[in-house]
Amino acid sequence: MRKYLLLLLIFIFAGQVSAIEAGGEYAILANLSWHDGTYKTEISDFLNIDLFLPQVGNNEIQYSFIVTDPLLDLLEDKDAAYYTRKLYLRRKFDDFSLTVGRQPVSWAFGSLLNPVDYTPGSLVADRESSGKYTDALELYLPLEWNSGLSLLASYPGGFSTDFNKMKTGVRGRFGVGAFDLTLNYVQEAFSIRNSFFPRERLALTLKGDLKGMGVYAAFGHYFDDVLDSSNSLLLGIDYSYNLNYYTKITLQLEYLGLGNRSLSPVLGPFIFMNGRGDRLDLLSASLTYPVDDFSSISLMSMLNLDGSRIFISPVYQNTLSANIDLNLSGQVFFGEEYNFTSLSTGLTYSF
Amino acid sequence: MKRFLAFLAIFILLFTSSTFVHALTAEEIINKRDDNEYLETARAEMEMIIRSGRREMSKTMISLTDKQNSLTEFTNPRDRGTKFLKRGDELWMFFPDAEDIVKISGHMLNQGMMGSDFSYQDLMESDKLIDLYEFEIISEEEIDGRPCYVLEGLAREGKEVSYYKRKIWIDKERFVGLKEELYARSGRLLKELNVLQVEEIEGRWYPLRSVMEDKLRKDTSTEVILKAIEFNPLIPEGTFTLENLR
Repeated sequence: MRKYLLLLLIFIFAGQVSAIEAGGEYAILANLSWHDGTYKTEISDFLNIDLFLPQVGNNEIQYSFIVTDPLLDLLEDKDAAYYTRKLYLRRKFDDFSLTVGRQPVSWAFGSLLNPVDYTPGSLVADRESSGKYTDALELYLPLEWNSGLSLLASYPGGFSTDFNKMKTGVRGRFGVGAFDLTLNYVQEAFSIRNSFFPRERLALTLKGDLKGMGVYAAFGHYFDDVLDSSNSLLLGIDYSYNLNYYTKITLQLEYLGLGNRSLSPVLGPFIFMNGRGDRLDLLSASLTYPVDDFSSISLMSMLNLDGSRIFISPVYQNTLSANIDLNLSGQVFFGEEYNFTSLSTGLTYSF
Repeated sequence: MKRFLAFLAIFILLFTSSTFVHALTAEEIINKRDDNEYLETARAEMEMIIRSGRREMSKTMISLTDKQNSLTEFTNPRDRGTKFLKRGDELWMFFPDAEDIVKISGHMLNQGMMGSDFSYQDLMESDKLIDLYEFEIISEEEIDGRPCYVLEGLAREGKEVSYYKRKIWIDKERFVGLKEELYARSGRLLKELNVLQVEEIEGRWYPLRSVMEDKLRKDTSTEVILKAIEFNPLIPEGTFTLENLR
């Protein structure tokens, strides 16, 4: 209960304290899903708090946490679950910067799916997972204005002195002409949902413009002592089509090929798109239509090219007054073994 | 006769000199306007109010700018921590949740920035107007009782601009733009900017409140209110870099 009082105080005084400011969002979500004639309803809420601490010299502290189901648990007199998303210290030195603590590590480059992220499945089709927040030490060396080198050591299972539980990575980002090129290497021992993920990976990503179109690609080579080596390939485009001078439809289309079933963890929450064969070929598309300045309709779809699975998700988003956002979405999945359909609605208040 | 000739000479001299003093060329007028409005370096705090019908949404931001580059950080609750880095003709975006840095595709640049009537391209044109357009004076009019030069500018050949033609009303006394119309190559009026408030800051006249209307949309506008501005601050090296975007 004390925790709630503390949260309430932070909420009330958010923005009123000059030295430390607080902000964040509270969301309440309702979901109705059914498959095989069975209906299920679910209500959830979460509170995300970011504390904005003043920078002291070259030192910056970030603290952000999320409380799941604070209102529902309060009504049922339960203790809410609390998760620290960020709690890190970043210090800028003359030639490099050092970040120590719980921090997000995301190597997104503008794709819907990212098979070569630091954490597999951490960012999929704009949906984030908590997997990207990790206890880590990052050393960043800037090279040019658009180039730099990140060296990472993290502990996905929590801090440990056991070197074998450590995950390490190096990522170089380089501006090559008007293209953004990244090269990365990751080493880890990783298993998810009984799948064993290859121990090491080398990858590159590229993003730029070609004749009025955004183009991007990623290639990853995964190797391991136990598993056979395998590759992932992602090719994508993004394009805007003018319906009239101001209304633009934005389209994003990408192909993802995974050479081995063991790479399916890169799909994150869309792991159900993994098909029948050992290899996965997936086509994903996203279409966004701005209804007006405050609302938009989008449609995301995924198709397993072996024809075994299709996923479609329409989303309506509207920014209401008083910093409240309304989201309505549907998810329809057609698979060989089972189908499911769900409808979700959510209200988010930013403060 | 001598007296007549002397009188004539004085008259001609006075007439021509007075004409010379007052008849500024289009280039001189634009240069004087640029002296006020063109920013070598600046730090500004702004509010952007996006209106559509009876609905409105406010965004606040802090922006650092030099001749070619700018770094903007949003400070309103919904977008807090979101940053844009404009460097030359490239645009990069920082998403605070995951702390991702993503290069924005070129085709996105003429879309409304964060739902406003200003496109990313509007904000990316950082050259002096005189370098982008060839201006001529087309008339003189009054705006809210203030006499203005009306100038028309056509894009200089080889220059990449968002609008082929601009029509600008420049205050004859203060040399600050009070109104602007932006046209497509076809001659179609695309946007109209009206300056609602001008103030003298650090010896230069500068617009404090202005409203941009997209003329191809009904009942929408974006008002920009300058909350604070510092001209020519020292911007540390490394400000306009991806490292600083983090």
